Amino acid sequence: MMVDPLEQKQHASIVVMQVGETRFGLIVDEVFDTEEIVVKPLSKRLGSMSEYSGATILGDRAVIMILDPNGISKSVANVARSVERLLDEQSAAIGAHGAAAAAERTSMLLFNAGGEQPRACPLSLVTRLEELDATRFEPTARGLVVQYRGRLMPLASMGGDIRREGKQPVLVFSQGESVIGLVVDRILDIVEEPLDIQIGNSSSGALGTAVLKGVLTEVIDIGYFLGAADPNWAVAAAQLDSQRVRKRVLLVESHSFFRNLLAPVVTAAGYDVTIARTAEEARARLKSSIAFDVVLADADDAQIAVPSAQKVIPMSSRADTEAVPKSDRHALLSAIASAVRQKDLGEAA
Amino acid sequence: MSTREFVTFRIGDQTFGVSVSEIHDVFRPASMTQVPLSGPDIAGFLNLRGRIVTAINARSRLGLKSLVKSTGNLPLAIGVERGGESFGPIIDEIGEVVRIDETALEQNPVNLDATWSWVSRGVCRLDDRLLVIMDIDRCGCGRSGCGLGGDEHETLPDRGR
Repeated sequence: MMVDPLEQKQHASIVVMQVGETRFGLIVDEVFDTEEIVVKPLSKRLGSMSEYSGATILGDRAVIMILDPNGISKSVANVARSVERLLDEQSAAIGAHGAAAAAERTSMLLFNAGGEQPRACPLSLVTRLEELDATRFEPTARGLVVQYRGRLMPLASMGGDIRREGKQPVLVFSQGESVIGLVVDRILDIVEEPLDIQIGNSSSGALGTAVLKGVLTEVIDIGYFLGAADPNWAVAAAQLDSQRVRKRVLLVESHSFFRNLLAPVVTAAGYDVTIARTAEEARARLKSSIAFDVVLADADDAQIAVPSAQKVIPMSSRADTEAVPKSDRHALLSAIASAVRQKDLGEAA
Repeated sequence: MSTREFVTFRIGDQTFGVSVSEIHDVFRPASMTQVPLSGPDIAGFLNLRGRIVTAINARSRLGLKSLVKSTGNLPLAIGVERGGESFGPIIDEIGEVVRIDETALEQNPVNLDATWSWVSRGVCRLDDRLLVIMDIDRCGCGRSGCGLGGDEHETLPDRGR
């Protein structure tokens, strides 16, 4: 990296990294703190830069780059050959793995909360992962709250105990102005796997069970816990609770990014999501015997001919149209909920 | 006879236009994170409502002197979505939205600088100035700007530097 020579400094901070068998040090100006973050992939425009593995947004809204020790060690000249070979093998393995990865993978956050069985929720729902000082949790009539970034954040548990001392891992969810913290015992991992929820007689608060990284994992209905912690939480969870039958949603979306973004959101809200990449595929799906309750389609695709019994919700990646913005999770979920309600009313009448 | 709407903005002394449908946002970033070792076209990263936006140094793409700073009063950026990613070309000043008759659009003048004709889809004569219709993909957003192999300049004509 373009680090200046030591400038005859007497003291310098060195971050020691280990890649394979080789250790090397990175001279830095200042060390701040450790923080758990969600790494977002780097723009493809920068994809060829091996020095970074991604970027993330910190609490003060600043964007920071995540360094990739492998890439940095490669760009340092005097790396032992054996290490280089190791790195090549690693990157070959990663490349093969990446090529095999299907497009419909979902990033899932794995954690322990009240029990040994790992639990999971789509990472896209989580705003931040935090480790909060448990001595700052304060009891109120409605449960524990903590001062978090200038506002009061109610804390909810998914079965585990809320610590009263030490560090407490918390999943922070935010929606508009409100935030809720769900405490977990331990954050385990982030995995990218197809979200294949196998629905069973699971308890309330769980969408079902899926096999993630070869381990039976309970996929959490985040909306249930957030709704329990804050009845005003605007997720359509309450309406969904009363509807025991899972409604079927057809998602028509040509961009893989939005497919990956929306499918887990809608799935996690308790719907059965079927994905169609093109209008043709959507038409074929609609002709099949499965009846969809709601069709979510890009405003450009919303013209697809559908039987009148099915309600099409146009959505757009822009905010300046009448269509529901794709980035607005809340608007999208309430549009689905109201469409489902209308359809049920129509059928009842 | 059909008309098209363009958002106009100024970079340097030149007014550019981009179809309104291509621009999602015009915003003034609070701060910009610089990306060491990135090419001159990457101005940095911006945070737009929790999304990471790759800021494009449009001046560099046009062969103009870069004015981009990472602190202080940051210039405006226009928000563009390409391939599921957010890009933000940095502009000097935002202008009005103009409605232009399609017949008024003309091809690039033959004597237009090669760098500019690369990013220009055509021109249009406004009352008091020339409007260059910008190809936002070639201005650093999206695939055609990145040359797919690393060096994004290989697809560009010689800039005569």
